[in-house]
Amino acid sequence: MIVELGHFALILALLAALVQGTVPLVGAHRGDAALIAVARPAAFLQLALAALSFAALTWAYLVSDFSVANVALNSHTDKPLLYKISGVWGNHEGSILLWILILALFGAGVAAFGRNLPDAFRARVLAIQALIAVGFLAFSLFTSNPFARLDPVPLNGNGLNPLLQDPGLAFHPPMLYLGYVGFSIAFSFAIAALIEGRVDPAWARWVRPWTLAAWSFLTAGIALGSWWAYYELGWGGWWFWDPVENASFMPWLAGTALLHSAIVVEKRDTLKSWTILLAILTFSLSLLGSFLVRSGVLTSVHSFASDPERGVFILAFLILVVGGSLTLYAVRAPSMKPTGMFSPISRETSLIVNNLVLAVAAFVILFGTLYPLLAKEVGYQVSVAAPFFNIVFPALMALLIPFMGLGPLLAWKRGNLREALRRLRPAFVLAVAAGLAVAVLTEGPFWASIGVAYGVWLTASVLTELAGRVGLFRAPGQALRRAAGLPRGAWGMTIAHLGIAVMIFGIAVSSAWQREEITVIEPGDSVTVGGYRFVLDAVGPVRGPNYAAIRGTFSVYKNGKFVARLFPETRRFADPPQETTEAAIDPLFTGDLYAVIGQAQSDGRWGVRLYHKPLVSWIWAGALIMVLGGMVSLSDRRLRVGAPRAARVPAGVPVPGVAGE
Amino acid sequence: MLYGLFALLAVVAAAVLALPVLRRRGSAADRADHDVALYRAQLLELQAERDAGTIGPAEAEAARIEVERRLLRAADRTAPAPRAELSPGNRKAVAAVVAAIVAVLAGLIYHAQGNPGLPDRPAVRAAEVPAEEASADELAVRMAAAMRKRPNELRGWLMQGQLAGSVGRYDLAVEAYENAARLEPGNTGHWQSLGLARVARDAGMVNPDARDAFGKALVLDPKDPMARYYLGLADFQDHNDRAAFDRWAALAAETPPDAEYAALLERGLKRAARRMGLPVPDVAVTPAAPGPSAAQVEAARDMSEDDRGAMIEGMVQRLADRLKENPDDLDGWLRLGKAYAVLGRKEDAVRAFGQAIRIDPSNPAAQEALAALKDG
Repeated sequence: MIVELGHFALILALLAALVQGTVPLVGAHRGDAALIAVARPAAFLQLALAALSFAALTWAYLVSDFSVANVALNSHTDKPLLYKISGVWGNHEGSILLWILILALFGAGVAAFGRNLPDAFRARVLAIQALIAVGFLAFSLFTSNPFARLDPVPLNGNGLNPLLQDPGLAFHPPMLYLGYVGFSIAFSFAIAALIEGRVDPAWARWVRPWTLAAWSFLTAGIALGSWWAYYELGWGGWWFWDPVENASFMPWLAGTALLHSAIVVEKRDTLKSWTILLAILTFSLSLLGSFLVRSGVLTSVHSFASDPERGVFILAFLILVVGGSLTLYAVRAPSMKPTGMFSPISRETSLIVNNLVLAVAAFVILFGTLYPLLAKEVGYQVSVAAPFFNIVFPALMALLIPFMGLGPLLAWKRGNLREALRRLRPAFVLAVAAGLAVAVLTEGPFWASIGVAYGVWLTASVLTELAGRVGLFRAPGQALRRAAGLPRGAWGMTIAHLGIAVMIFGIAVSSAWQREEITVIEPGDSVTVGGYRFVLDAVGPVRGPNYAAIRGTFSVYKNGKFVARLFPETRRFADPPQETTEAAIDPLFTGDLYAVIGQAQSDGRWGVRLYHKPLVSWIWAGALIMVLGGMVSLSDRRLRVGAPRAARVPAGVPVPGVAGE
Repeated sequence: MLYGLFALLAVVAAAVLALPVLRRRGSAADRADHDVALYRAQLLELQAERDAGTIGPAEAEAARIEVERRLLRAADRTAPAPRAELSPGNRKAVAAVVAAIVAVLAGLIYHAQGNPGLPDRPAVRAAEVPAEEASADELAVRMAAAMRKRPNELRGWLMQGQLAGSVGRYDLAVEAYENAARLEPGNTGHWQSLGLARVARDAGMVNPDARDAFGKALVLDPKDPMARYYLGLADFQDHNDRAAFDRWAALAAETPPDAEYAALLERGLKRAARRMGLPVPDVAVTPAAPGPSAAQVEAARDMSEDDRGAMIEGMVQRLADRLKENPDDLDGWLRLGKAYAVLGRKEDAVRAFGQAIRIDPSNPAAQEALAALKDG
């Protein structure tokens, strides 16, 4: 009964979305307050129904109701509780249902927190959001129904993939989806503005918190995914440029560009048409990513051909969303006249450079991801692999980072380049010195010194900008007070940019000075990697709840001093027969020690892989710092301004410039 | 009950969607008011930043002028949006249509898709475990407690082992057979049962303690097929494919085709063969299966080096040809790569593993094999 109730709730959600997507739109067009008023309750209803439906499926997983086909295919009574829950979204049908839930969550968020938006505009936003939901709900109900039933009921389920039983993977997709789907709000805002025919600073300010939230979630999601790959796949890498990763990275790049261009719209009322386009493209890339790659429909020709219904639906939906929004854009964009002018040397220009580079990077990755897929469709075998991305992407970032340091020091409208460069001279000298020092004193590849120089440059220039803002050198006594008074948005930028710097250090140093040793040793032997001596103390069998494992025990010494003990395992599962590698990692501030135990050799020795990866954890620390920056920026009080009542000027406070009103 | 809940849900949904249309409302706030509010707030922020000294005076002045200009423009824009509100009668009609669409369409779609007759079928739910099962489980626990008080009753332990095994309490079954084997260590059957109980407890894994038990059984009866099968499985699970294959092949040679465990053994042989890169269908215990039998495979091992090489080369060539037609077969490439590596055709092996990596760039087996090839 619970399962059928969930199914019915999903059907009602489709119809509620249909109403929410049409009636308020007509209302906003006619200026009819009664029709407009449907939008908000409908958004809450939508969330309630989606949540009910999701809860019903989760319940079916929790109690292992194998009469639900989806549960029978993807779960098992022996699965640990946590993975029964994560199994809900670990498959195609369930992940679409999660999309629907998060779409509804963001819609209800706008309905609840968007009180500062004009009623008609909010109604349009909610209507667009509902129309997206209609697409997903119809896709779910008519091609990928999570509530399809089985009769007779199988005795046990089929899904016990041990590789997927990992806490990192359990929470990675919801985080990613919060990011992907979060950009749907930016999209809805953009389409609503196009329908209304107005994009102005107020619009930019309204859309900013939603974009920031989505961006923060996506950043966290990507970082979690990369971390999972690092310690579960056991190959020591943290980014492989595979289609799944690229699918999440493209919307991130476009979303980052959107975040920056929206600032220009807010402050200067220009770059409007481009910002709208970015909002559309960001969400389109999210759709493309989750549909084509995550759902696995296009990854192989066979699944596409064997399930043409889904494929055709997805294509039609993509064409409708992307094509429809771009057509609307083409019709309306020319009417969006910029009012703010700016000179070539200004913060606007540096933000345009940021946008261009990020957009090009997103396009390069799109090309590199889709081209092999498309080529395969017409019978060619092309592989665009990591080496291509590893050359192109850093080159693009090398263009961007100088501007990350310079831009914030330039004023809006017309900047003083000479003054900015003068202030940045210490940062520049420091960066060059650091780069030279690395090149001369160490035996790294040339790009390592460039990477370090870029990291130093970014850190130093961000700190220069901060010091200037708080007047650290002009009036040191007041610096603390001023720092506290800085807008949260400014702090957010500073923190996020520092996060990038930390990440650059991590990437450059860990790729340049990673040391690895792949060898065969017996207990008692030792191997020295990057100055650390790994001693294999013992290898023995251990037993887990549903697997048997070989566990190695390593003691690691540096200069004769004990540093850490590592316990890598190779786990073997019986049903389905599968093997997973549990790398043992000791994350140190200065670098990770990473050990993997492999196959037994016939002579009683063991294959082992040992790494020392200096500063590698800085990569994820950098991502975390970026997320923190996003959160700080999100807490900016100013993002809540905009409602006519809330912003009424308190009596007695003179408002500069409007005294004559 | 079910339909009652459906009706309730549908009525609530229809009401939430339709009622706002009926309620009388004032007109919506004008968009221009929002713009004015924003620009005022921006001016206040600017002032605050200038007071705090976080923005230069010239910069602040330029920004102020610009925001003020926008403020004036927004304040000028007084033309109200066109309003075309529905008459009360029309509103009722809209509300009725909305409610009807929701209720009727929901019913129709569910009628087409739903399975109202199928009840929920949770597989585990303590409260609904059938009465006998609950008592059987309990019985096993109670009997274990009773047996621990007189641990030297062999018959009791054997009964307890059977009972506990039949209700799925493998932990108790292991305990029972441990005691049985302790009391009568010369009985092959006890060691067999103990091994089986340990395997069942570990979800099919033959762990060291289970291996021990089968080893004991084998000492007592070197021909015991069960012990030999499970020791082979232990080897197989430890990736000693060659040892597993040898053990199983020897057992197969002595196994009558109608033996109960023949099918199990055949499956094991096939899996081991597959992992070693030998052609899969070429091992068989049951006589009906096509291809060379286990005996023939045994024979192949006794062939001259050249003959055997030719036979294997032929098999590998067939695999390679098949992959040419079906290049997306990941397992196929892995197998081919391993076969080439065994044959010493290093370049071909590298190419085959390369194909595997093309299909699945993060495949650990392929990467490991490639690294091994490059090292050696």
